[in-house]
Amino acid sequence: MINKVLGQQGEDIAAAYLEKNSYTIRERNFRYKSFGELDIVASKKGKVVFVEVKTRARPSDFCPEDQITPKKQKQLCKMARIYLSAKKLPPDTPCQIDIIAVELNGNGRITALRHYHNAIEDAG
Amino acid sequence: MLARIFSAALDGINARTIEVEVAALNGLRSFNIVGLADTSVKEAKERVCSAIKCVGLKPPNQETRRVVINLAPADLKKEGGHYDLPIALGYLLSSGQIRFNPARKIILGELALNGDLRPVKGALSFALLAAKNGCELIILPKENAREAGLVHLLAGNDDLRVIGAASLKEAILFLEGKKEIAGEKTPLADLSKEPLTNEVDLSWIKGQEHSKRGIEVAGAGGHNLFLQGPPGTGKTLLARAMVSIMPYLEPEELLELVQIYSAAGILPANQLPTRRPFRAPHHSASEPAIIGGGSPPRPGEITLAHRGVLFLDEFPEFHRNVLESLRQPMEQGEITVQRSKTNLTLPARFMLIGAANPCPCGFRNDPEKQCTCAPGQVAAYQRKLSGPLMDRLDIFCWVSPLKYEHLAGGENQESESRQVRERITRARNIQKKRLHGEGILTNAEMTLPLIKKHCQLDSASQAILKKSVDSGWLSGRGYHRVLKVSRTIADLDERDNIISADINEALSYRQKETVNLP
Repeated sequence: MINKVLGQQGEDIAAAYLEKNSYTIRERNFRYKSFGELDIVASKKGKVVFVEVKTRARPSDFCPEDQITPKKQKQLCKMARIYLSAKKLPPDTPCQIDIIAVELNGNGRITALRHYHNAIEDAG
Repeated sequence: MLARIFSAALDGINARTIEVEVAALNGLRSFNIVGLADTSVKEAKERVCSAIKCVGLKPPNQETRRVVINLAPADLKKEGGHYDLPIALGYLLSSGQIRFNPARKIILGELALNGDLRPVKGALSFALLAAKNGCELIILPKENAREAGLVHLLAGNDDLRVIGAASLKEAILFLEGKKEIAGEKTPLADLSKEPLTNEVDLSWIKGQEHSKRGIEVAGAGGHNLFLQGPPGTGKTLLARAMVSIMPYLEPEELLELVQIYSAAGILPANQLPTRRPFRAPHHSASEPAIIGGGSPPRPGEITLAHRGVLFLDEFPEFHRNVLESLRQPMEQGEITVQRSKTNLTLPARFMLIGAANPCPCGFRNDPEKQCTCAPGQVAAYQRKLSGPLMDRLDIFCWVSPLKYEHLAGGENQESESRQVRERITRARNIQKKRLHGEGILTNAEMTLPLIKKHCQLDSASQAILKKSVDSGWLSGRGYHRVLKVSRTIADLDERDNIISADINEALSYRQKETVNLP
């Protein structure tokens, strides 16, 4: 299960990055039944920020963020709504979905970290 | 928070009020346009976001807002880019980024990605709607301001201010009262001062005195004209010369034309028509192209030829259904396009000029050349010119081949068209004065009671007409058309009474029986 370990490693890096940028981490790996998972739920200035982290360990022609397919986007929107209702937050809470891409080299050192703010639009 | 801005949609050449409601609530970001909007309206999202970013305000795609835009009434199909500006202003208003009172204002304009405004179709119709609704101002792109500024001539009052804005930024500054833009009020230019360009002058055509007189009478009274003759004798040139001899546009006619051409999207930015339209569609044109229709419904050639000339060259080559569908608009001066989803009435008061050869090869009845058509071919060709349609054409001219002395004849430098136009203008002024109060301008538009009232005949004239009608040569409609044409001939001579010579001339323009099969 090398992928799971790698994913966890990337999420740790992203969480540390967010905390450094004065986000508050509210939740890690939020799951609801089998609908899916939110990697990180953070908040900053009264805004709830759902973060999807994508990590890649070896150099390749593809970017990790390319893995966010339309299907994945739809799922993230659904999970965001589920989170709000599970935590009894009003549905008109200001919130957004961010993507953090982490690239590591063979030695496990960070070569790039990209943060996309408000990256996904809720198609309804 | 909710914002409501008034905009408008084009329905034929008339405008309807559209309410643009914008709700910007907190939540996961989304941007939806509802209210039967087509793709061009839905794409407003990208233009609006980019334009708002370019003026330095916060666009919806960078905020945590759930934006819903509703275009009401919900059952009317919306199309076009002119909802961009009201959507952008509505969003800024509902998100609290700008502040103004949207009541009694109509706002239209298509946005460029950098926030500039692009011209829209139908500006004068929109301004007219705003004036009718008692709005205090209409904001539209700068390029449309001159056209929309004509509205004070139509509305009869000066309450409406027409504001032309160059960009989203200018519109915002104006609405917030930080920048003053003067209201546009376009005066009517004197069209007789406009230089004439690319016009066929009547003096270019040598000989053909009978046909020239025919088009003079047709032009004077607004009668329909049919030119028949062998190929190459000048039928097309004669038809094109018609525009040069017709009188200048009356102010009310100009305003009608501006509305039609603007709604059809073929009015050049910041320009107004100066001459009567001359439309010459190709004979392969379809019925909706000529009559009007399509989805969304668009004005056809007959509407674009309003107050001008519709020239159908190679008349019998047109599709039969196209020709037959001309009958009703020729009679009524307007066309009602009825489809399952639309019912649209458009003005279509045009002068029809048809041109045709006498047979497919073109040389039937030619004294020099031999016609090579089979009798059946000639009959099929002439059947296209059905009785009911031909009955509506008042003036027939046979354009005969010319002799050498006509072609090489003396150079005539003076503009013959100008002299003829002066005569026609005098005749039209007489008609206008006589028909003042009936709401029409020319003899061709007279209805039956008006013909009775204005075409009193002496006994000699009555005798001539009695013979023609009783012999079956002249139909009831033909009789009334002869009366109208003779009224025009009398007007050209500036006479109050119609005399028998006028009747004889008018009868000479009726169609001769040309089908004489062996």
